[in-house]
Amino acid sequence: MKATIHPFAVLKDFLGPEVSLELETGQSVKDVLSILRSNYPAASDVLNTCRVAIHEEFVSQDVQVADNEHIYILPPSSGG
Amino acid sequence: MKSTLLDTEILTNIAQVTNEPINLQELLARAEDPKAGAAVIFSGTVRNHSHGKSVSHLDYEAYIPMAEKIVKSVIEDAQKQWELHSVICMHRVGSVAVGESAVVVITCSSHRDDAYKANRYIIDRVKHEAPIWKKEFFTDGSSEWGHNCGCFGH
Repeated sequence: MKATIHPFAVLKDFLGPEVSLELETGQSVKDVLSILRSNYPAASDVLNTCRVAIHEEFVSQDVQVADNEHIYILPPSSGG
Repeated sequence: MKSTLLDTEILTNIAQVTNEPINLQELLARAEDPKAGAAVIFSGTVRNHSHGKSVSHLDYEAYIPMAEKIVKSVIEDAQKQWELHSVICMHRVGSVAVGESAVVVITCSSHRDDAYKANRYIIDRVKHEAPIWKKEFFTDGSSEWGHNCGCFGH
């Protein structure tokens, strides 16, 4: 099962513009974040503060990821 | 409380993220409403100093579809709480120079109390909730991602 991670802002400095992950069926957003923390340990602190969005809605960490999902990882806002 | 007279009126309601410089005059013209006795304008501009350093410019990034969705929903929430004849929130992405507007909120109502309160409500929520980020570029060549909102779990 594949997922594409779209990081934003400072997170791009650690993950690059996009990350492709291979996942097992039934894995959740929480699992995705664990994998990212493991693959990119320097991004851990930032990842801990991020919101996650799928299909333009914020999702909780227990949401299961579908095949070919696009997952948007959003650090705390600093607009305005 | 909304008056029934206004229920079927068309309301100017704009929530937008733009790559172009914000034209305040043009936005004010769009916000104009003969029912309004008050227009409150907030313009968030790039200041020339931050963290004790001299700023050259700011780069704004956004997850645009969600940012516009959230700004729109904040505006709608404001309309439920205050009687607004027009409301505009426009936020920049891209490079914004010192002195330029990064975000503008315009609220128009019959009386100023609603316009002031709604305006403050909108900018506070947009800053906190919209997926928009600024990167500060300093005149010494360094740069840093902004960190207004240290919260998590909203």
